[in-house]
Amino acid sequence: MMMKNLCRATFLLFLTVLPGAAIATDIQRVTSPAGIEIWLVEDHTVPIISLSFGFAGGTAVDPKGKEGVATLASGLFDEGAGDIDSAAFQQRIAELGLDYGFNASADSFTGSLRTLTQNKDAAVDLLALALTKPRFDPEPVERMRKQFLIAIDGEQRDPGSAAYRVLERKLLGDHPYARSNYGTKESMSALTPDDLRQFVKDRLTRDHLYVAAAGDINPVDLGKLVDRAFAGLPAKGVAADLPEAIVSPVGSLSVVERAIPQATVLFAQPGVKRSDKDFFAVYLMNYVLGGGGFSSRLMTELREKRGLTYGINTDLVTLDHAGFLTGSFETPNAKVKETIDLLRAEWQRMAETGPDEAELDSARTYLLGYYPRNLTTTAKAAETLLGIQMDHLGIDYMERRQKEISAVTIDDVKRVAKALLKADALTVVVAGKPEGLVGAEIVPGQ
Amino acid sequence: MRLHLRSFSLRPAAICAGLSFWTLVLAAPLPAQADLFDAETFTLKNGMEVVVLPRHLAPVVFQVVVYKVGAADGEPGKNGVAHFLEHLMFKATKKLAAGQFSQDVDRLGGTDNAFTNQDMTAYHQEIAAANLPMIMAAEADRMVNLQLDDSVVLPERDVILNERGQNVESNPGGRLSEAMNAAIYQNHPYGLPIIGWRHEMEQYSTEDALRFYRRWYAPNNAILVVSGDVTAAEVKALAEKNFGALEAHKLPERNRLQEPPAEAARRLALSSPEVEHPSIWRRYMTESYRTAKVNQDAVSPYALSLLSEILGGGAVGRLYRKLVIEQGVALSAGASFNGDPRDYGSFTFYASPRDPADLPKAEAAIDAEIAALLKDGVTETELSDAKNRLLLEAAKARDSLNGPALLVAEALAGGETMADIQAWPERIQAVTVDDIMKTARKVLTTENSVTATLTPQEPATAVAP
Repeated sequence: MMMKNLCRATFLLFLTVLPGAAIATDIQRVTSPAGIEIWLVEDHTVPIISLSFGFAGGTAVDPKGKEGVATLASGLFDEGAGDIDSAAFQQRIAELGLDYGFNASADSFTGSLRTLTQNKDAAVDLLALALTKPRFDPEPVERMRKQFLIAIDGEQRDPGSAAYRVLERKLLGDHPYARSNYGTKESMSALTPDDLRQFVKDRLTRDHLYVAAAGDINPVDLGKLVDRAFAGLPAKGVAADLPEAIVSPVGSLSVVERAIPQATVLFAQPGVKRSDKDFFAVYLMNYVLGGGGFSSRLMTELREKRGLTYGINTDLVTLDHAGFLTGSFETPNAKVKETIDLLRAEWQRMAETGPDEAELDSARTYLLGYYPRNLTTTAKAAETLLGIQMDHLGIDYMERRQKEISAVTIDDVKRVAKALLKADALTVVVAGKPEGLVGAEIVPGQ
Repeated sequence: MRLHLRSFSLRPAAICAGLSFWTLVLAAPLPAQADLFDAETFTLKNGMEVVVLPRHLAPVVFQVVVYKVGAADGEPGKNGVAHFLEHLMFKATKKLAAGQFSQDVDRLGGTDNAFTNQDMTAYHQEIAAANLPMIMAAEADRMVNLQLDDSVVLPERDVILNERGQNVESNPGGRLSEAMNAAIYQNHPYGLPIIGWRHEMEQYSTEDALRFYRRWYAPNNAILVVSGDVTAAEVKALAEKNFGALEAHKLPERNRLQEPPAEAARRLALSSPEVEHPSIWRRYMTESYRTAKVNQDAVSPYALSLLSEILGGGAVGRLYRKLVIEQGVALSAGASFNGDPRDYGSFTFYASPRDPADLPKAEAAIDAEIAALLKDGVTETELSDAKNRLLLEAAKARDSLNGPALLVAEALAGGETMADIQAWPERIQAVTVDDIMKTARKVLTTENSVTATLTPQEPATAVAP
């Protein structure tokens, strides 16, 4: 990895002897005896192994009428499997000292397992049991359903979340990406244990599987361990296909009326996907515009110079079938119009002139320096590797990333800013009681 | 899967210039064995202690400098100056402009922060390993070169007043926490808030901050811990270059008022419209790791760590199992032990009722668990399971760049030694059922208790007996 080499070179100037401990930020590609590909960062400093695994296809491929099934399932893989009921399963996790959890997002269903080396076999046996023979007993299913229904209720009541639901609909139309990960109150209420079993059968299969590992294990033992965990899964599931989303190129302005003194404003416009050849140029541009925290242009103009908001940020969202640039801020109702006008002006200024050299240099320095901090624990390293795999970025990505970011020129960034940013293409949703907004559509916030 | 409900924490947490993970880190037990993370320790000629924890998973380093001085070392009426100075340490020095150090760290993709608690003040950074020389030079610079005058100090005083407003005064959990500490400690400065009382903070002067700085900030009152992609030889060379030339001071003694024996149970109630759901805390004063050694009760903090695991260990602890799963009276319930402070530890029970009207039931359920514990004790199986879980957690805590470094820094600054850290697993292993029961009977007495309730809506009209 490039950063590794850079810092080694620097230290060699006053370095005498390197320690005996393994220095392993190289990523190894391991193929298990059963043929499962695993990416590994091997490091034996502490006797701990982290596994991250994911299945392609997330909440966006929940079947019609079964929206929320992936999310509900994500809460139930530590609630009993095989002959082990919920309490006994929790007891087993505690006995083995496991960190163990699942997450459903739009494009993937992922899980992680961190164990001491001494307990690795028992740990993956428990995981295998959970993935192949989950019980979905009535008590835990109802308990988790209740929790998610409370979350759905919270999404509807919270002004920011309600506005986000509207933003996704305005931006993505009826594409499944515009749905909530939780589904609707109706779909979540109607899900049955059979629906959950169907989810497992269709989705948790070898053809959708990606696995990454980090820590105290060699490639041979890892292959065996991963087979123990996943070789028993069905070979084929139901294809997790989604159409490309059409991200609205036409701007709009909507208001979700809420009696709150401080309005939440969300905005978005088309962006790029992760596979776009100009991705890093857009990434750098976004950092300068609004992604770079206190140093960004939007923060400087709206917060530092004018005190219109406590904070504003923008984010480049890259899904498998959509890319968009989005952001948010809060401001008093009386200041909403002024702040949106300034936002559009900054959007336009970036489109017309791009960043200057100093801004681009800061963005580059930060993004290069930040990246290795994704690898400071075995859990973070495995998760980072899994993300690279699932985004199909290639095993040499870490090194390539640093090179490509370094190679982006100011002309590249100016070019993408001009082509991409359209102030009047912004989809804007305000939750609150904004004053003086002309032509806004009032939408129900459900 | 346990979902975490939004709740207020009443942990006697450190307070920081920004967000902190310190409370979370402290919730984990001390790491298993110092030599297992190849710790190397040395002392500079001026008395500054240095610990290096090499870890080469990623080309990143974490540095923390901790000063053995905290809020409880403040002059009467000026306890919050320790925390005020922590903020001011980000201002200009003879070499760097105000905020420059943080900006440099941020520009390079790193992160930095600081925190103050009753016993110590710490400054830390995480950054790509190649930048260690820069952050160490800047940390050494501000140990001796801080430049303060009214033009920078007075605006920062408004910042800490706002911080108090935000974190304490407009946060019912924060207000109750302060009141609870004031009730527990009748004489010792732990009863005073780390950030200070507002009416006293308003009077803090530049001279107050400078006096505190000159008195306590010196290499012989500081510990440097570096973890990550670095060797002891590299750190030693850098530490000698940056800190080695700084002069040691004569340090004041840390004389703190001691607590009288507790004579009466104390009870507090706070109601506020900002509280969404009621909860109850019950806290008992205990020995800390350090005082247990001094008072020849060395086993008690280890026994209390295990007791908190038996009662409050996540989804398998007695309280969660009984109150949440079996009786269904609570949404969450647990127990925790904090033995890290220098002078006193604490053992805390908490619960939040499922039905908001059932707060008394939740409290009665906690009382019933305490009574059952004192009557029937704990089983050998519960104890060995708890030991197993604690030791596993301790081993896992090492899979972190900053966790072990902060734990070592805190333990050393709190009066423990590397040998204590190293002996932690065997001391846990040595605890018997009898040790736990002796300690429980000594600690869990009515007169040693403070009970606090936090409830929604109506303001409290009367304090229950």
